[in-house]
Amino acid sequence: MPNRPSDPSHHPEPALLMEYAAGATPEAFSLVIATHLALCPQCRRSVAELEAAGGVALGKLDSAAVGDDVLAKTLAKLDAPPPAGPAPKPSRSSELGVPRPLSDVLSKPLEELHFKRLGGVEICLLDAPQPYRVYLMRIAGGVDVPPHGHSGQELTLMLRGSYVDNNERFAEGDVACVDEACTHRPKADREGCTCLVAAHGKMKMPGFVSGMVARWFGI
Amino acid sequence: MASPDAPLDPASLLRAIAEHQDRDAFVALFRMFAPKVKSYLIGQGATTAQADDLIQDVMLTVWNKAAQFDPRRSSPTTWIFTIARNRRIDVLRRERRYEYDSDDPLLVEDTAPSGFQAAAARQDEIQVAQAMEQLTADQVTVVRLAFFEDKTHREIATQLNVPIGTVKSRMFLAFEKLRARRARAESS
Repeated sequence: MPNRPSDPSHHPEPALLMEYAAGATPEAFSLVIATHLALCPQCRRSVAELEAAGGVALGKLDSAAVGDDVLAKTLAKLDAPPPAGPAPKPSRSSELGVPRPLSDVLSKPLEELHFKRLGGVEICLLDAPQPYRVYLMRIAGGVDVPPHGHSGQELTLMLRGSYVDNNERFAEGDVACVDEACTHRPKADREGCTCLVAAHGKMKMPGFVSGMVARWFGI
Repeated sequence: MASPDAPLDPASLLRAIAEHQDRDAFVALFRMFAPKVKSYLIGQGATTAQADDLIQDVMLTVWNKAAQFDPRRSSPTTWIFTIARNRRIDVLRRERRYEYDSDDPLLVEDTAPSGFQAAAARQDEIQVAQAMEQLTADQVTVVRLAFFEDKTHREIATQLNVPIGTVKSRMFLAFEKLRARRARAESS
């Protein structure tokens, strides 16, 4: 991200960082959190520290009996060449203008992807395992997304520009965490914004027309 | 490292594997960690057969990647924990786990003094263990369920029959205690 003014000021909740370090984070949310980590040295340090706690806790677990046959089988495989997984792909982050891991799942730069557009809001759905939705959302300058809730948790990572939600400004690198308990209405700042969204379940928009809009977008 | 009375320090064992494919060092490391990793995997719902297969995977990864272990960034136990965690997500949950790339040209660099970064990353295990001793039983429970039973804070709330907010605040307090440990380590 060119010319970042400062490190992010809105971070994933501690519970989410703890789940990430523990490996309990669902895949869709791990994309948002890992991309935030690329932009946030502070959260990288927190995750390293929580992993250290995981290491200490691993060391304190009771030992389970492991048969000598398991050791023998492992030793027999030491001389085999390491399993040839898929060759590591070179990073395309510079070309696409977003850091890894997000750049690994995009086919084109943000500006060239196909977005579905309705009014000032544009959506580009990405692949995600059910029941999660992952998408890029562009909001035109000054436009607000109609008030909506969610059937589950939603994480949003700001990639370009900024928006204001509940009197707080979310700028590049910031993460907004929204629960199903809350209804919100983010409004893009003058220059508009682009964000990455991962949500559990579907967006809930009151009203027939808004509901149709959410279904049309596929979110 | 062939000497039988060499100290069984996991970092030296990893170095011996990295530098000269030392099988004795590998066997020592296996005996040290495989029983813990098995316990971890069983706790995560693996059957004994699955756990025995996964242990081989995890320990082979340790053998193949020993040269990538960086003692400035983590302890051997933490490094092995992350390998076991990632293999478990692959195999038991069949999901991807996205990670950042520390060599990514777009990664925002940590401008904190390198000593500060190292303090966070290269945990002093004694200090982390001390911080963990400070956690209340409730906090230990949520941390244990997250780390060793693959549960999100929402699933933990359901299991313990407490509000989601309560689980989050227990996680938050546990997190703060671990950070307070770091702040003390840095100021001293």
